[in-house]
Order: sequence, then structure tokens, then C-alpha cells
Amino acid sequence: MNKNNFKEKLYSIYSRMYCSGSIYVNDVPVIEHYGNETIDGGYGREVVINNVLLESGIYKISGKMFPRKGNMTLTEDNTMMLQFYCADKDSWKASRFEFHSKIESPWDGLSENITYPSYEISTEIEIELPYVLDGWQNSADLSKVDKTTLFEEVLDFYKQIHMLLKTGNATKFLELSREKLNLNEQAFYFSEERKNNFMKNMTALFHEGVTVEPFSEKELILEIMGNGRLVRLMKVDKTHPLKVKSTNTDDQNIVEIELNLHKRIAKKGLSII
Amino acid sequence: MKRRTFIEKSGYGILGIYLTAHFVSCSNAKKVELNSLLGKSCELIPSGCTRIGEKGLVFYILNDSDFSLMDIDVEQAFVYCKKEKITGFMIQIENKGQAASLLDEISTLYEDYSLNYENEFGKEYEWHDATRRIRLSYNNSNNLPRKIFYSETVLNSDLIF
Repeated sequence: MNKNNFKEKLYSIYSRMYCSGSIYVNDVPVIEHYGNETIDGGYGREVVINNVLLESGIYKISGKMFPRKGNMTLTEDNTMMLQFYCADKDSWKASRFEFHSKIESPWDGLSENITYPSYEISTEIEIELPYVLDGWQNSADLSKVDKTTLFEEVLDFYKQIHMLLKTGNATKFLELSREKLNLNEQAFYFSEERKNNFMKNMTALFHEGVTVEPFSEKELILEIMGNGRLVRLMKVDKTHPLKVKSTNTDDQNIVEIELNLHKRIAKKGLSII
Repeated sequence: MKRRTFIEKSGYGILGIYLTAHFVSCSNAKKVELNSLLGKSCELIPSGCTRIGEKGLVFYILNDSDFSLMDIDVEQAFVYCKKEKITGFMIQIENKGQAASLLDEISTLYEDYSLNYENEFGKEYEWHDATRRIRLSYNNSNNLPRKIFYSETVLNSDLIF
């Protein structure tokens, strides 16, 4: 399979975890698996990562393993494996192939009876894309900002987004999400159908059957990512602090709202990317 | 002066459909006039209002018995405070199809209004006076709650609504 013949390359990571953990592209998280779902069983999911690949180049992939919920350490029973795929958008199934060797945690009984608080596996992948996206590449370096000041600014932003969701200001929320929408359209080569689906999902957030969960300022952690260009808040339990609940279904699913923020210009305000 | 005119015209004009018997009690001295609060101390917010937030930006929920604004019949207002100063407020109104007429009327009163954006869900208009930024937006998609949002914030605040 020659990926050079692909018109619209889609890169993805297939992860299998028997633990809690996060997968990062450079230092931007693309897969996060925490909470009650980690108590038993395994996790397997493939995620297209084009939205964090802003241009061709070498990217570091890190898989960070943590104990299952309720456990203090990793053991030989906890594993992680990552596989790397490339496909042409218009012929996903036919063209999809593994473009880079898989990586996995080293336990084959070799480290039996040894425990770890965490463990990291990593590799570097080479990416070739037909586009260059500005994204957050030229945004302000937030790692140089006083952390207390930045935390308060980010917290204020989250509170306002919570209010927009709570009051049903869909028009404003969509406009604030425009940068992210544009980025995704380019990175995933959105068709009109995909754009419509995106809008449907956005509309669903404001449906009568969706309620916004209370926002708590407690137990929040400021995370700076993307070489200092991205920032977000996370709960100490590694869930996202903004959540909505669908009350139309029996299971009352809680959906976490993922926000990554940046500043195009240092002296300007934060925006969603 | 233009602002006063706006309040009077919109209050008795397009927004007049919201006038209720409650209008008579809007002169209640205990009610705070929302748009007189900007930039002032948070201590002016009626006691007993629900406060949300612990540090940084906090907001208070005022019920209709606590405030008045342009004689609009609104159930709640959200007042924002930062560093003990009132930096803005926002109200929401059910959109019964009056948004376009309301904007037409406002546009005759303010010279420097602008359309901030128009997207798949609705529109937002903005204008300023010497001390404040005023925004009016509304959802006009059939699949969304029909709401109009009105906000005033002090100029150069970081508020995004």
C-alpha cells in the first residue's frame, strides 16, 4: 500500500488498554480512559488524529498508563497497546494499513510482582499531509504566563461557557466554536454531510431533553498542552468539568464537553480551538 | 440621551407586548435598575440573591422582584461581578418572533451598531455608548429554543456574552 497515492490521508491510533490511561500526540491528549469504566474489563477504540496533526512532520506518540480506578499501582495484569493506521478518506476500509510498528507495554510476565504508579510507552511517527493548518501553532505561549492568573482567566471562561449552555445561547456557542469547526472541517476533509452531522450534534446540545450539569470550581487542575499553546481545565478525577445529561433516554447518559483553549494574541482573550 | 430614548421607545413599542400588570410595580424603590449598575460595587446587588461562583468571576441570579430593565417582563437576570465590581448582566427573553422588529427599532436609535455575526443558529448585533457594550442575539433555528439574549457589559471587559 502506497500512502503517497492517497488523496486525503486520515491518520488514526487504535488503542487497547487494560488500565486507565491517556494517549498523546506530541503533548496533546487524543484518547483518555478514566473513571468507573476502568474498574474491570478492557478498552479498545480507534481515533482519527488529523485534528491535532497540523502539518507534515515527526510527531511523538505517548501512551501513559495509570492504575485502574480503585487501585494504587500498575501490575503485570495492566497492559496498553497502540497501533498506527493511515487510510484514504474515500476508501477507508480498502485502503487502511498499518504505517508504523505497534508499541505495547513490556509486561510478558517479565516484571511480575513489580508495581508501578504509572508507566509510559512512546514512539515517533512520520506524518505527511496535504495541508498546513494554523491551529494553535502560532498562538501565544501560555507556559510563560503566571499560572495563578492564567488559571483564573481560564476558570472565568469555563464559567461563561457553562452559562451559555445553561441559558441555551446556541448562537453564541456556535460562534465561539467556529475556529474548532473550521479546523475540523479542514483536518477531516469534511463533506457537506459531515458538516450537517456536526451541526446536528451541536443542535442536540441545546435540545429540551438535555440538561447542563452544575459546574464546580473545586478540584480543578489547569493543564497546559501543545507546547504551551493550549490550555484546559480538568477535574482531579481526569474527567472534563463541563457536562450535559440527556434526560430523554432511560440511561441518562452524561456527555463531557471537551474544551481546548488558546490565545491567538497574548493580550487578547481566550478562544475555543 | 439616545439611550433614554431607546428605553422609552422599546419599552412602549416592540417590547410593549411584554408589559404586564407587573409594570405598575416597576417603580418599586426596592428594585434595582439593571443598567444603572455597571461598573459599580457588587454591594448594590439585592441581598439574598443567589450567588454562583467562589472566586474570580461570580454571578448573581436576580428574580423579577429584584430588578427592572426597560420595562421588559423577564423572570431572571444574571449579573456578573469581578473584583467586587459589576462588570455586566444578561437577560434572556422568549423569542415570539419580535427579534427582527426589535432590531429594526434599535437600529433607528443607535448609529454605530454592527452585525457581529450571522451563523446557522442565529445572529448577534452590537453597539456601544461611552461606557458600555450592548449585545442582542437570538436563535432563529427551528430546532433550537426560541430565545433572545440581551447583555450589557462595561467596555473592555473579558466577558464573552
